[in-house]
Amino acid sequence: MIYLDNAATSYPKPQLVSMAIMNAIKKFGANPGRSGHKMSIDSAFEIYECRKDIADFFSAPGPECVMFTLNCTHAINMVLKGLLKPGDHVVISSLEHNAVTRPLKALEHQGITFNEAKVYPGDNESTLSSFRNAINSKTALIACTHASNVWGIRLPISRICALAHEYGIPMLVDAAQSAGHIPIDLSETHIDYLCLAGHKGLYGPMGTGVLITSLGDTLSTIIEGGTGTNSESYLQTEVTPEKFESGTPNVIGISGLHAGIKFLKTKKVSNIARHEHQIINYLYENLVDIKHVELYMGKPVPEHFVPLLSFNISGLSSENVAAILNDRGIYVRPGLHCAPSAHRFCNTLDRGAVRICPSAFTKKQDIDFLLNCLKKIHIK
Amino acid sequence: MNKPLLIVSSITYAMKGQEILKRQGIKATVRRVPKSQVLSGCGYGLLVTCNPDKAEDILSKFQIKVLGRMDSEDAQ
Repeated sequence: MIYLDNAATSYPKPQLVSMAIMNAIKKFGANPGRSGHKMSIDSAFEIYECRKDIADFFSAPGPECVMFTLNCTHAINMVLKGLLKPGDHVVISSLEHNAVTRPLKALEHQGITFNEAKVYPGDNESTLSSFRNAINSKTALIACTHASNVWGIRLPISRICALAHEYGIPMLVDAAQSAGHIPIDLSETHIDYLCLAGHKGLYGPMGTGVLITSLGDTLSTIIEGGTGTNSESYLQTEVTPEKFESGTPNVIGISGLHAGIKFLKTKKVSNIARHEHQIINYLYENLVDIKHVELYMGKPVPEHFVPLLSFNISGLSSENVAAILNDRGIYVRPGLHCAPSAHRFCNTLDRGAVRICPSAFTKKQDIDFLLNCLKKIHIK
Repeated sequence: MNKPLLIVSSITYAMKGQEILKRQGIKATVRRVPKSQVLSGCGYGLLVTCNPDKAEDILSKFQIKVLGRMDSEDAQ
């Protein structure tokens, strides 16, 4: 089996992650921060250590700025629904995932509006102008993806963030497809709300996500409940991160994510990214020579792309191509990738596209096998 | 011997405070604290072996608010 669907969730996970999960089941079986006995404190300490390592990994001010969520979508919803008020306007990019567009659509009935700033692949100046032109007097947030989950296009996040702050507007970044592939330093980029998937480039298990912000006091909660503190009060605690983590946390998942972060710290994001870019550029250079392969972007250079690409084969739907590859033991993702805006961007809304995303574990031979299969589809 | 328990706002801050104090040479243990005048229900604090005033000063410098103090015997 060759797994090339790492943009959906990474597989395999590092052995360290599997071991950490097994260890957590055995050692951290008590409810963290609730009961006060040793195993409960040990569980809480494991969560604390993960917060600390994540804060360090992204250069966040401290562990209290790291909130654990179910996934990146959950983190994005927490910000959009916790921050925006009736009458507010939001600028998003033309490449957003439904994780951003659907909550904003759901907020329209409260009088919250949004519009799209067009992205120009490889032309950061034009992209920046789009964002500047999309801002109006009611803009309360810029929310955009760091990298398209369909085309891999990187947005100039640091510059968009600086633009947002020039207008006194906070910035949300959906880093689901960039974290673990691009180093993100919050002390340099000054992103206000960084939303992460724990189970993709960070190599944690599914069911883990993270919101990093030092502006927790600006957000209302979307879920309230038990936090293990001030229990007599019916009022939700205002202390972060607990304010946003009501109910029993996913200790086992968080422990796995912690191991994923350790894996990245050891291997280094820059080394993994170099390997993944070599793989994806090797694929691109060979796909260019296959006559009936339709490509939509130029060479995926690291400056402007994260290591993933999507393509089609003339005369076939993306689902058919994925089904043929599945029969040969190659796992890829066809369709719209929950990002209709991104497909509208390349006029692929009707047929979708076949997405390939390598990981730290993908080998050149995997791509050779894929290319061989694609050539045979062409021959038929 | 009775030891002072410094009450903080959450278990995260208790653990962060424990680390900070350790770096400053003050041993502290994370302890669950009972309902008190400053805490309406469950909460967490730091049991310090010595120098509670110094410990509180250090925590304040690192933006960890000490909500109050309690004798460890009261926290049993």
